Amino acid sequence: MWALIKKDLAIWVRSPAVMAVTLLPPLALLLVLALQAVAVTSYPVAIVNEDPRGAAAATLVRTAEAYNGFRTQLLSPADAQAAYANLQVAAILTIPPGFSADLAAGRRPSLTWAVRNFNADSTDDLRRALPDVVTSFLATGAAGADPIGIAIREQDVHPHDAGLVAFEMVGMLAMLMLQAGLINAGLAAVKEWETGSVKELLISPVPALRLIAGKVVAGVVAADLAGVVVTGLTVAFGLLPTPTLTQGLIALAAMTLLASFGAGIGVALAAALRSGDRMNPVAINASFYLFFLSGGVVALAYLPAWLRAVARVIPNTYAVSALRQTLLYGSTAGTGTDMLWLAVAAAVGLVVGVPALRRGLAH
Amino acid sequence: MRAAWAIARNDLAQLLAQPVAAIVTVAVPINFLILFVLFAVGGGVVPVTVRAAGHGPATAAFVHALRNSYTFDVQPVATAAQAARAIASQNSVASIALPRNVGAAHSTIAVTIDNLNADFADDIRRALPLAVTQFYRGVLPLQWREVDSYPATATFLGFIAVSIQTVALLIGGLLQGGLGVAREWEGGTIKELLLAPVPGWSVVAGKLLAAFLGALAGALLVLVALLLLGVRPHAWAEYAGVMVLVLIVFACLGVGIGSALRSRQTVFPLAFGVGLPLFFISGPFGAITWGTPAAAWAARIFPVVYANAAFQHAAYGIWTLDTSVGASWAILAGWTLLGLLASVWLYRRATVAH
Repeated sequence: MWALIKKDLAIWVRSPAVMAVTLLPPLALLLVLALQAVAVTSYPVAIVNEDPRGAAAATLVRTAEAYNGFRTQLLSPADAQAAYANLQVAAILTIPPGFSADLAAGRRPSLTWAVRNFNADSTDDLRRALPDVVTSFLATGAAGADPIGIAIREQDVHPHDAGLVAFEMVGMLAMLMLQAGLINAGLAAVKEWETGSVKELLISPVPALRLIAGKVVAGVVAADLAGVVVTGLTVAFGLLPTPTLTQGLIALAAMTLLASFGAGIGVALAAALRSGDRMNPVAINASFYLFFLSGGVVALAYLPAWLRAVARVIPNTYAVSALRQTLLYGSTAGTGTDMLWLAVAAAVGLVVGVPALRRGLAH
Repeated sequence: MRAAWAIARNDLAQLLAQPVAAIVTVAVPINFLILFVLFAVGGGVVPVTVRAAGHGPATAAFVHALRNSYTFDVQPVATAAQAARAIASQNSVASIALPRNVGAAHSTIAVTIDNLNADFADDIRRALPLAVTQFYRGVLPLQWREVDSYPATATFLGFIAVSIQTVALLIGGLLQGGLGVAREWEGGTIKELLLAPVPGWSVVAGKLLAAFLGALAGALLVLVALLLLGVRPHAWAEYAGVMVLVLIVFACLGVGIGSALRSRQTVFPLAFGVGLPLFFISGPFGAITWGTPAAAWAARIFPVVYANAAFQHAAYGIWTLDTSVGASWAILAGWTLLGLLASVWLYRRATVAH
């Protein structure tokens, strides 16, 4: 069996195409999410202050400039309109002439909030932002006594907010593990049919079960190698914090179990499809679906109820949960349940895959 | 031209002879649509539980303000334990506890946030002041007036779905073009094509035609799905024009890539590896100028961003790019020409080496 594992791993290392199939989609997604992270957390906004001498207006400008949802530019009305027309800014906040005097006199001046309403998502982000700025402005006392009597006391579940890219990265790590398990074990099996070497395997005195175990273990080890490299790189680049030994081992176990599930399904697909051309698209599509269905880019709670029910039977969900706890939030809480479900999923994958490939070899 | 047509027919017959591969490659773009529907559904509203200690008009007014904050899906609960369970079981991401005297001076609203990441948590943190200001709107010392650029705002799903039409063309064109040519090298049939008494350009034309028709099937599937989702292009001619132009570009590039790589196993991840990043950096969620300058700079090099803008224009009458309409169409036309030249050049280069 060891010889088979070594042979399949050697083929994997020397197959840039297989490595590309495994690594390229998740790495490409990571790259673009990193590039887009700025765009989803803040918007470019022009501020036009038509009350340049007013103290309250100056305070409002400072408040808006300090707001973490904006990347502001203080512009003249003409420049702001030009920037808005050229899509350099998503919105214009105009402070009217006499704003400070009107505030002092209790005349309730009106700000103008011009919004480029391309779609409901970005528009709602901007609609939420201005009231946030206004409440911060009122709290400064620049508009007189703050009429807002409500205080908000926030308590967070996790000690710190994870970064958006790191959050997405962990979901993609799970996708990578599943895809790597599927493709590495599946393609290793398919190759035997494509090259005709399946005959040699069949006439060898090695039991079929051992042959299959060799393929599965090689697929899982190759997936683990890819997972460890990607995790190591993300830690090295500061996207993820350095895990403790326990957290690292739990994360590795979660990755291994998910890859085992993938390898089991991979060899089952190989027995059914017997061609790399069919195997690749099916495996890539399957891992993408499972990634999104398990809340990979969002979180389970944001999905509709029926989709949450679907996600609860997908192993990715538990792998993502265990990986987020250990690699993102520095905790091991709840990982026992996740590992249990992953172990069940791995067992199911192997129970499905091994007999299927055994039957395939027998034919 | 007869030879080109025969080659195209042969390629399409081969595609149909492998039903799994045909379905998967034609359905890849529709898969993207389904996946991004999930993405849009997930990013829409924030599920929160609200536990109110009182039942008076002030409490009702505040809950109303929460519901109208463009953010929350409010689920009322009776106890703190229910609220905690909803977060633990991932059925909500925050719990809001309203005091009996909400709105009175020095009243405190306790909020527990499952701060999974900064983006999600900030949405909640920013929406609460919106609800608070709505609650106090009548007594605030200032007011504001929103002026929208367009009379109607497209839904998030409708907006990104239109961009998926471009991805359908990109991935469909690259896959159909690339796989069709790579198959000839892998099967050794390229020799027969080279020895056949037909000009090289007719082989490329045949491959392009087959790739165009194969990818068009996937793109039309996406279009039907968009119509079912409620997207109604108001300029059909523009929509069809950009579809044809972009499909030619990517079918050409697919044929070129297939000639250069000569491996179907490499073409597939490349189509995904190229398609996904280009989709994300080319303004599927808004203007590219609102994002990272590096991403915007990279997006301008490729035709996807111009195609996205043209599709949005055809679908909603909005222009999402700082390059003018005319210049964008000129760039798309330039890419078409470049694609045609590249496909012929790469095929010739590959066959000369062969």
